[in-house]
Amino acid sequence: MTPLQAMIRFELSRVLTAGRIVWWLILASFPILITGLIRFFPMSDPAAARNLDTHVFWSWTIYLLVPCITCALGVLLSAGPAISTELEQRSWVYLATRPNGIFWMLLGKYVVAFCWATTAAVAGLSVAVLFSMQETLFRIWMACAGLSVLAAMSYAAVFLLIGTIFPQRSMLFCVVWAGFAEGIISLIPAVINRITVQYRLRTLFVQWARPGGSIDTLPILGESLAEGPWYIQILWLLSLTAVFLATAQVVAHRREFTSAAESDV
Amino acid sequence: MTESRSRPFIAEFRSVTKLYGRVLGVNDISLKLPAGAWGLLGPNGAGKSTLLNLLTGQLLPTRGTVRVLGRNPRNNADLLRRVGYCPGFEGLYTGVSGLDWLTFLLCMQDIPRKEARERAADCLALVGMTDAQSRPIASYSRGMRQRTRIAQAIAHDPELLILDEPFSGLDPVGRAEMTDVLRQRIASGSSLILASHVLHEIENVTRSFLLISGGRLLASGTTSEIHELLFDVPVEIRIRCSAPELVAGLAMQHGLADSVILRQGRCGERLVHVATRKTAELCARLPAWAAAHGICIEELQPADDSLQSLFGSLMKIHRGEMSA
Repeated sequence: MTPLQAMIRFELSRVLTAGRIVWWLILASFPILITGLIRFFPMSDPAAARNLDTHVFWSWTIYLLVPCITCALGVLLSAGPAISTELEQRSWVYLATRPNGIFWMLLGKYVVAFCWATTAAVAGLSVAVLFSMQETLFRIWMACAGLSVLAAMSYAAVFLLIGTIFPQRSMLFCVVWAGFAEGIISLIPAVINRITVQYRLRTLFVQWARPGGSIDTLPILGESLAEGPWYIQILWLLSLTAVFLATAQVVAHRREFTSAAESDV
Repeated sequence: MTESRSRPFIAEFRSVTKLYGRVLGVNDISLKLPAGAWGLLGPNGAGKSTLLNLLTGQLLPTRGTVRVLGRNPRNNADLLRRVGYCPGFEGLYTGVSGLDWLTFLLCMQDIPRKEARERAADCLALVGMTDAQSRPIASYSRGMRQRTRIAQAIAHDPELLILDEPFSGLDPVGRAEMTDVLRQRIASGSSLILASHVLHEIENVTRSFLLISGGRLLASGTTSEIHELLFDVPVEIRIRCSAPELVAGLAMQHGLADSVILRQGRCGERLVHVATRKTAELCARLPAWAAAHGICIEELQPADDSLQSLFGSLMKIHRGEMSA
């Protein structure tokens, strides 16, 4: 067994506890609950309901609920505090004093955070998509399942990096980043939005799920969608993930995390 | 367990200073430790843990260089395979069993899982944890956790063992058993650096000491050398008696006191504090003086914590404020 396998196995055994399983269920239930409420509590204005393009509405709703919110929240809860929990419970040193311990620890925690968030998102998606009752149900599921994998992969790397840079306030900084960079900056039609995960995910969603038929029919979003085929977008996401992960590794190896309190001098 | 290993130096510090912002961790330490067992002795806050964190590469020196087994310890995977470390705090995962935790840590050392499991069980047996090895660590007593932590440090059979307060939380039986475990390792050729603020804990394991206080290395050597050094350090003794002025005068007259101070105690009683390098001789003379001059001696004791006092005196010698 390689150190990475050992790390993943150990982290998975810690994830499969009653408390963490409840969190996983809550996370998976989130998109189901929201789509269920929308399905069973229809619009009070019948005219507005008639004018609603249900395919566009449900596609975007599921995209926002699953790859954007559920996945991001899942990795925020698992990857964001990866370093801080080790430091707070002072277990960091036992891993840091193993050969390449910090490297395997970060990688193992990243893989487990990815699996934890992706499984919750796909489980939630599988039920939530049924509430849409669309003919394109399978296409929406396929698109959002693929995007969930990509979203968890990319966001886990982003939040792991943030947790490494700001271990003491990791969750706060992750939330700020998610809201500011992924929520606002990704929509700004400028060069800066190209480095956001959301910019690529949105483009892939429009290409794969075809919520409005084609990108041309969405003039509002047109400015905040990337150009190029799907594989270029995936390449971007893979590159961003690799850069974030590598940076997290460099930061973790360069910083002095001793787990020791000041009184231990 | 380990074949005989010989290295010129297990640890080497060259003018090492470590600052935590404006707080001094260790101050301009230079030393070379040959292979063997070394006790790092110092009061709380002396800089022992900082020194050990520098040795394990957890901290980078602000100035100077650190070498362990001839290598830079920072992020050095090859070196970490040869070093076992037990920190001075718990930090255990409470939800897993001791056996699972040790197996995991051994797998992190590139040891195949099956072998890691066997080694973990053997090592837990060595520290007397077989009965509790499958229970969650949350159910362990403090002493059991300490034994488990020692087990994780020695499980991969390291060439150099670095232990920070390894006897903390252990009962006398546990201390004796763990002392035996460490002695066996030393006998089998492993080197050891053991930090503690309790002199006899170290003395039970090794005869070679490093004395550290205030981030400075005050002295190093064998037990006898340290005792010789400590013997020369003035010790302050407090005497409560019916004629403190007379006792002070006699001590000065016979050349048994470096200085005397007359004080008043909390309940208004009169005391004499005698700083002496001849403690044994002073104590031997006191009964004769008491008999000859009709002095009633009610109490005789060190003026403060003896080890702390000795470290204080060594610090003064180190700064040149006092001659040895």
